[in-house]
Amino acid sequence: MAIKIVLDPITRLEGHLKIEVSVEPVKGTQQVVDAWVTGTLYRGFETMLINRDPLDAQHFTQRICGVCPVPHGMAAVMALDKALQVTPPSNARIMRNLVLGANFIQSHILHFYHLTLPDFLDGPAMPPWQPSWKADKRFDSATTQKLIGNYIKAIDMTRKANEMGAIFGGRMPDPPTYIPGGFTSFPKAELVSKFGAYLNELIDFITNSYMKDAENLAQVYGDYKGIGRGYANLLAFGVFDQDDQGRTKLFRSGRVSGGAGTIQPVDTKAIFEEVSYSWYNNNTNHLTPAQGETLPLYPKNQAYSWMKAPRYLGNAYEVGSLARMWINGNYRNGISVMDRHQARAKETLTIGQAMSLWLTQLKTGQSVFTSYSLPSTVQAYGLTEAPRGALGHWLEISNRKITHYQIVTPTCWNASPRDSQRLHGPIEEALIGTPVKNISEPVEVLRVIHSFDPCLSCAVHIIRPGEGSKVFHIG
Amino acid sequence: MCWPISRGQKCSGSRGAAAPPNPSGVKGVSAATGENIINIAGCPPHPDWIVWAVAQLLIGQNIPLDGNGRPTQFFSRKVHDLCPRKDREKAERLGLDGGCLKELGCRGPETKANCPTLKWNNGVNWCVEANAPCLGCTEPTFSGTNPFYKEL
Repeated sequence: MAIKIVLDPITRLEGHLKIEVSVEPVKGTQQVVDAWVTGTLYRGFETMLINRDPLDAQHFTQRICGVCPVPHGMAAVMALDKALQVTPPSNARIMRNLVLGANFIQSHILHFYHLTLPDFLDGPAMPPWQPSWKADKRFDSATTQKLIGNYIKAIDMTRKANEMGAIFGGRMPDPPTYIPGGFTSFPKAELVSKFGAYLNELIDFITNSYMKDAENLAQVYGDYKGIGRGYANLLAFGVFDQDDQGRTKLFRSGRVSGGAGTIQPVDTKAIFEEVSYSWYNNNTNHLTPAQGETLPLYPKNQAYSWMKAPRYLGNAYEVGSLARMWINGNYRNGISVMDRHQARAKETLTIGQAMSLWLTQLKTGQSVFTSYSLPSTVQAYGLTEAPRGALGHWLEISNRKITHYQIVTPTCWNASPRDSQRLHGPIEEALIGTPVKNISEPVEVLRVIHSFDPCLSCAVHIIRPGEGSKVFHIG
Repeated sequence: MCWPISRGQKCSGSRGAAAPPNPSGVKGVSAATGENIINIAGCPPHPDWIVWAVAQLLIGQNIPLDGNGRPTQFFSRKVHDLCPRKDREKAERLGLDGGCLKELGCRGPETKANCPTLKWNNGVNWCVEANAPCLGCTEPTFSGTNPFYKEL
C-alpha cells in the first residue's frame, strides 16, 4: 500500500513549489512510484503586459524573478529587436552578455552553496541551518567546517557577482540598461577594468572552491550519479551570442532524446503548452506560445498546478546547465542528480572564462545603440537561456501596443505537471525510482528536486482564503 | 513594545507591477491585513533601506513615516533634487552618454528615493548613471499608465 508524502513548501528554491510523492517498496527497496509537482502561485505577468507600450516590456518581465531578472530582460529585448528589425551594435551585444553572465555566476554559486549543500551538510547549531533533517549526512567534521566556510564566502561572492553586473547593468537586480536596439551604458576603460578585477576574483573562487566542492560532493555521494535521471530528454535554445547576427553562441541550441544520439535542431513551432492538469481554461490547451493564452481557472477538475506543461513534439524536455553543456559537447558524463551539479559548476567556469575574453572585445568610443522605427503591427519572439534553462518570450504588437505576450520559463519545462497524454513532467519523471530510506525525512526526494534548481518566480505572498494573516511583533 | 510589521517591495506595499490591470487581484499588505505597516518601497527595495529599518526596530527607535508609510529617512527628497545631472543638457534620444534623461521619460522629478547619493550594489552604480531613466519604482503609482520612455 503506497504512502503519500507531501512536501509543501519546498524550501531553498525560488518561489512556491509543492511536491506529492507516492512511496512503496519495489523489489525490496522503498522508493518513489509516482509524483505530482505543483507550482502554487499565479501572478499573471503575461496579462499585465497587454496594452502596454512595447518598449516597457523588459522592465515588467524582469520583475518576474529577483534571482534571474536579467534573462527576462534579455529575452524581451531580443524579441523586440526582431520586432523592430534592428541589430544592436557589438558593444551592446557584449555588455548584454557580460551582465547576463554576471547573473549566471551569481545564480549558480547561490544554487550550489545556499540552496543545495544544506541537503548534504549538517550546518552550525543555530538558525537558519537548524532545525534541519539529520538523515544521511556523510561529510566528516573537517570537511563540513570547510564547506560551511565556503558557504559563507559564497555569500560574499554572490554579492560581488551582482556588483560586477551593476557596473554595466546600472543596478542588480532588475538592470534597466537593456533596451531594444542596444544598451544604455558605455564601455569606458575604467569600468572595463573594474569589471575585470571582480571577474578575476570570481573565477578564482569558482576554480578553487566551487568546482572542487562540487567534485567532492559527487564523490562522497556517488550513488546519486544513479538517481534522478528522468527522461534524459535535453533541450537548449542557446545563449551568449558571439556575433552581431546571433549565428554563433557560446552555448548552441539543440535537442537530445533519451540522452543519446545526435543533437537535433530546435523548431519553436513544435512547442505546445498543455493545460489538461493545469489551472487554466481547457480552451487554451495545446497552443504554441505564439498563439497561447493565459486564462486562469481555479478550481478545475484533476488540475494540480499553476504551471502549464510545455511539450516538444509531445515529449517533456529537461532544460538547464546539464542540457546546455551536453548539447554543446562540454559535458557528457551522465544524467543524474550529481551530473546536474557538476555540469552547473563547470558551466560557471566556462562562462567566467568567456567573459574575460568578451571584455577585451569592447571598444570604447563606439556606439551602444542602433535606432529603429516602431512598426504598427508585428509578431516576434526572443529565445535565450536563464541560469535554469531555456527561456522564450513571444509577443505581438498591434497599433503600437502589446496585444500578446507569452513567456515559457525554464522551470515551466522542468517542473511541469502531466500533459493531455498523462506524461509526467521532467522532475516528476526524475523522481520515479528514487529510494526513500526514511519516510519522515525523505531527503532523497529533496536532493532530486534541488538538482534541477527550480525557480518558481518569486512572488507576493498570497494569503489563502480562510486562513488568517500572520503578524510578527518585534521588540 | 509593539511595532507595526515591516514590509518590503512594491507589490506588497502598494501594488507595484501588479498595479492596474492587476490580473491576480493583488492587494497591499496593509489593505489585506488591516495592520499598519512600514513600507520599504522599491522594485526592488534597496537592501540598505530594509536593513536600516529592521535595525531601528531592534534598537527600539521610532521610524518617522510619510503618507505612504515609507521611512522619511530615505523617502523625503526627490531623485531629481539629488541628481547630479539636474542641470545638464538634456539627452534627445537613447544611445547617448551623460545627459539629463528628462526627455526620455525619467521619473526622477516625481520620485522620492535617495538613489543618487546611496547608489546601488555597494555604491557601484545607479540607474541614471547608467543612462537609464528613473522608472519611479518607489512610488505608489509605479508602474503607472504612462509608458516609461514617454516624457512626463
